[in-house]
Amino acid sequence: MRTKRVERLLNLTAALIDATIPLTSDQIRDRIPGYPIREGTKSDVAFRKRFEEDKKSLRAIGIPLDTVEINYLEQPHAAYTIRRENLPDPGLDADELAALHLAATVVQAEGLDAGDLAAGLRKLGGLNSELAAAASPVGAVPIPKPLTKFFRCILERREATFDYEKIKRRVQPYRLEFRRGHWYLTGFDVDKQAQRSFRLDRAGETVKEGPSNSYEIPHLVEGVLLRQWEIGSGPSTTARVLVDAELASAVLADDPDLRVVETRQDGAIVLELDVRHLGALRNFMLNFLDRAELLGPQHFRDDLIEWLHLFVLPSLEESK
Amino acid sequence: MSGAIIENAPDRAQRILAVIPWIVEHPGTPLSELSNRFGWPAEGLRKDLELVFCDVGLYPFTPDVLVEVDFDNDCVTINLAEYFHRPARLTHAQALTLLAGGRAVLDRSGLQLGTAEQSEGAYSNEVLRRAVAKIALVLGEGAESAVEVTLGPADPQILQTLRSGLDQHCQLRLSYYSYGRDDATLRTVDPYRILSKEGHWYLFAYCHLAQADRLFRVDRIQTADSTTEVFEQPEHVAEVFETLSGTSRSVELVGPEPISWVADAYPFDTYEAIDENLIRLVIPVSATPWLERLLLCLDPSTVATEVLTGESLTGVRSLAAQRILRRYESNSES
Repeated sequence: MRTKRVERLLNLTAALIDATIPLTSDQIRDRIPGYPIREGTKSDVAFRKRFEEDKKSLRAIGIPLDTVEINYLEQPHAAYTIRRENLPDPGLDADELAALHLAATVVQAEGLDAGDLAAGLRKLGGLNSELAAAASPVGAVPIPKPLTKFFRCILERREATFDYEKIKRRVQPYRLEFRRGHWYLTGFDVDKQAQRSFRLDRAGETVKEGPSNSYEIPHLVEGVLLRQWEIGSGPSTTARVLVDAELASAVLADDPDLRVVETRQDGAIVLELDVRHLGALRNFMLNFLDRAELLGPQHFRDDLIEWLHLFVLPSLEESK
Repeated sequence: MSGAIIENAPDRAQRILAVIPWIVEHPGTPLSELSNRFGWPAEGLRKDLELVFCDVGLYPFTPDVLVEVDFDNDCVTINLAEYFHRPARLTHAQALTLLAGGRAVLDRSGLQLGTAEQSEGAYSNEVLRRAVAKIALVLGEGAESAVEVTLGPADPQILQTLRSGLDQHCQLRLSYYSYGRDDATLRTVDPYRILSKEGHWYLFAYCHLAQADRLFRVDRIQTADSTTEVFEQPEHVAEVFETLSGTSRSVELVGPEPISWVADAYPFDTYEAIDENLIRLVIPVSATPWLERLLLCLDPSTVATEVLTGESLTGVRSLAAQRILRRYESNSES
C-alpha cells in the first residue's frame, strides 16, 4: 500500500523527536516509509524533492525541525533533528485557555486564516469554552499581510527591509502597536540610526527578512508618538490649553496620559502640553473650534490668532 | 468519502499532533467529548486515530514501537506515544491571533473579558493576563511586549455600563456629545450592539430622541446610566455600518500639495493633481462643524466649494474663524 503523506509527516516527526542524535537524510530515507528507496539518480532527485517539501510543511505547522552539521562521518553531513526542549508547554490551565479563547472571539483578528485560531487553540488543549463559542465579537483588529512577517522578525530578531513612502528602509523591529485603527511598527532605522515608527498601511507588502539574532531589543521601547505637537527636535515649550467641560472627558479618553494641571468647577480642564511643532498644536486647537483656548505662552496665542485672521473676510468682519 | 472536509496533509498532521498529547494525559475520554473539545467531527477523529494506530510509529515498526490506540466503548486511550507528548509550537500567525485578541482585551481601554456576571472566575482579565504571559513565555524573550493593541479610547466604566445594558436589555440614559453638530444632548437609547472598528468604539442603538437607529461613538458619551426599563430587541439588528454612511453632501477642495494629508486621513471621492503643486479633492461631508475644523487647518489659499450648489465656502470658514477669535478677544486670562 502506498503511504499517505500525512503518515509520512507523522513518522518523520516521531523519528526525529525520538532519535538521540540528529539523523542524516540517508538514515531518514531508510527508516521512514513513503520515500523512494535508493536505486539511482532519478530516485535521489525524487527523494530530495519530497523531503524538502516535508521539511517545509513541518516547519509551517510549528514543528521546530533544525538542520545541523555532523562531523563523525567521513565528511561533514547535514543532519536533522527536532529537540524536545523546542516544543515547550505553555501549561495553560482550563480557565486560562477558556479566557484566551473568549478574548480571541470577542476581539477578532481579521485577515488571518480563520483556521489559525482553532488550530492554535487545539495545540494549547482544545476549544474548551462554550461561552466563547457562543460569544459575539465586539471588536475587530485587521491584520494586514506583512504583519505576521514583522512579528516573526521581532521574535527572531531579524532585520526587516521594506519600502516606506517609496523609500527603502532597513529596520530592526521592536514592537507592533495597533492604535487608532492603524498598525505601527516601532524599531531602529538602521540608515537613519534612530528609533522610528512606521504606519504599516504606508509600507509595501514585501518584507525581506535578514538573518536571525542580529540585534537586541532595548528593555524600554517608547511607543508610537501620536501627539503630533511633540514631534520635532530641540527643546520643547510648555503650552497651557483650556478645554471646556463638554469636551474634557473625550479628550482624556483619547489620551489618558495628558497632563491635567487644573480642573475647574464647571468641569473644564487645563492641560500642559510639550510643544515642538507649533503647526501641529494649532491643528489640535482648531479641532475644538471655540470650545478650547490656548492660554499661553503669549507668542503661541498670537500665532493662532494671526492664523485665524488669515481666514477672515473683511466684509464679514464688519457685518458681525 | 462522507462529510468531505477538504484538508491538506500538513493541517491534518498538525491536528493529530495536537489531539494525541491531550488523550495521553486524559485516558478514557469519550470520542464525543474529544469532538467538542477539538472542534472536529467524531468520525474524522476516529479516522485520525485509526491511521495513527495502524501506520505510525518508529523504525522498524514492530508492535513495541507503534502507537497503541484503544477504543473502549468509544472511550479513547493512547499508550506508548512518548515522542508525541507535546503538540507542535504555535505558528506565528496562530500566536498573533491569540495575542492580538488577548492584548486588545487587556489594553487600558477597559474592556472586561466577561460581562459583569461572567467576570468572576474563568472569564476575568486576571486569568487572561496569566494566559497571555504564558503564551509569550514560550514564544521567547520579548514576545510579551511585541504586540500592543488599543482598540479605541473609551471610559471603562461607560463601556461596562453599555455592555450590561446590552446583556440585560435595559434602556440607557446617555449624555452624548455630537462632534459633527458640536453640541451635547441627553437621550434614552435601546442598546443593540457594541463594537470596535477602525480605532473607535461604537454603540449601535435605537435612539428615542431621534426615533431611529443610531451609531454613537463611545468616547463621546459623557455619561451613561442604566435604567430598569426593559426593551425588546428587534429580530434583525440592521447592518451597523450602513448607518455610518448616509452622507450626501460633497465638498470640493482645491489647494496646494500639503493638502493631500486629507486624503490619507478621510474618505474621499476624487483625488487629482491639477498641476505639480495643486491638488483637487472631493470629500463627503456629514456636518458643518467637522468641515469648519478641516478648512481652518488647511492652507488659507485653499478654495472650498459645495459641489451640489457650487457655492463658495469661504464665508463659512471666515465665520468659524471669527467665532474662535471672539473667545480670544473677550478672555485673555493668560
